[in-house]
Amino acid sequence: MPSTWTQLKDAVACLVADPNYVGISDSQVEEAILTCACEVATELLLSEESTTISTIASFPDYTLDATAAGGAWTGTPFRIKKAMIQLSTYTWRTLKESNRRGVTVYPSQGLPFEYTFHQHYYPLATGSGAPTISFNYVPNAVYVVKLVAYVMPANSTANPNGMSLPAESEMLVILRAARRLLAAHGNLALLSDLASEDEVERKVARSGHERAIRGSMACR
Amino acid sequence: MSVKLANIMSRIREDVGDPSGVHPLWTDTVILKWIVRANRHFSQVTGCIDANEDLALVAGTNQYTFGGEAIMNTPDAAWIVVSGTYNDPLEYRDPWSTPNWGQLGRPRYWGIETMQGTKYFIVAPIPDGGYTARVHGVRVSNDQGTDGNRVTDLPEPVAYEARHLVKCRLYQMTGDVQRARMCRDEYWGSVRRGRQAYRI
Repeated sequence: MPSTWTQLKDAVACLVADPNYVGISDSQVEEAILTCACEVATELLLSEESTTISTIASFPDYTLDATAAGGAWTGTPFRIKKAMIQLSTYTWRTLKESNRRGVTVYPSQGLPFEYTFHQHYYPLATGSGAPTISFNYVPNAVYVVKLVAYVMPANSTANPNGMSLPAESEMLVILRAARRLLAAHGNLALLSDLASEDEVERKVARSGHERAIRGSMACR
Repeated sequence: MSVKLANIMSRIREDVGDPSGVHPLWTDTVILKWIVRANRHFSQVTGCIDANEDLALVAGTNQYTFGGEAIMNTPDAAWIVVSGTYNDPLEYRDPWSTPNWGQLGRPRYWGIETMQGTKYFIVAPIPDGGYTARVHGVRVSNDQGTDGNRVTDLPEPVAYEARHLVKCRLYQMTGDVQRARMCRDEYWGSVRRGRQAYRI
């Protein structure tokens, strides 16, 4: 199981030789962990989520409002990895990503096979700031579209389960958070030592993730 | 016989030259936290603790929650349990590029989908009856018991190996980079031996 939020904070606080949070405050440690967790998730593409939306017939754009992903992606930066449209109960077709930003002419009706995600609007918000997904055809019926995205770790200190990252990436996050906190203190030798562990821990995080993705005994 | 965390701590204290525990930063609490953390790390990078979880597949449902403590979130293989001694391997596929996805039948493929923070084990085709799927994964170390009786669940031959990483962290706390580096080298040597032993 991933570490709890408290366990992560304690590890970082110990590493910066401040286990009792005397010199560095609780909130500074939290902020460092969250920043580094987002950094690691972005760098290693560790956190994948999927959700489904229903297109609106006769309308080329779909606005991802706060309820689009069951509210799960609200306020959370994400990057679409792929989108699929459901052709029947049994069949999904991957939509090709295209860049039709700025296209104002409404296309003709039909079964969409391309999508454009207007990512520059994220994080997900309600109202006029919400991101939209556009299709190359105006859907001629209501279709279910599945979106798979890389989602940033939950920015919630109230989350008792800590980060929404695989346990393999914890050490990397702890080391980076410690470096971040120590940067101001000027112990260059220690900073350099912690930095030297970065590449190894990146491999650890990456290999654990790949083991999960590949699902293969061959990589054990 | 399981190894107590207290025994590992004593060994660490001897190694770092603080057998009586007088160092102001190296308190028992701090060392214990690092032991737990190091054991987790060691189990992850060596794969020395693996576990299975059985899921009861029911007709018409292709999506199941999984991953109690036993599996954490990285399953790496799955089978259909045919009998007590014979398992039929499932092949891993991206859930949406799976042949026969959504059709009814005997499951042949498995995949993982995460929705709203919950990971789901998905099979294809959709089960046409009751089956048992066995999910295999590497588990992270999770010590058992409380206080002085806390024991590590690392296999006994390697129970003391993660202590080198603890020593590395203790030296880093004091800014002794050279000793930290030596201990880290020792630790990764232990990991290499552990990987060979567990064929990861």
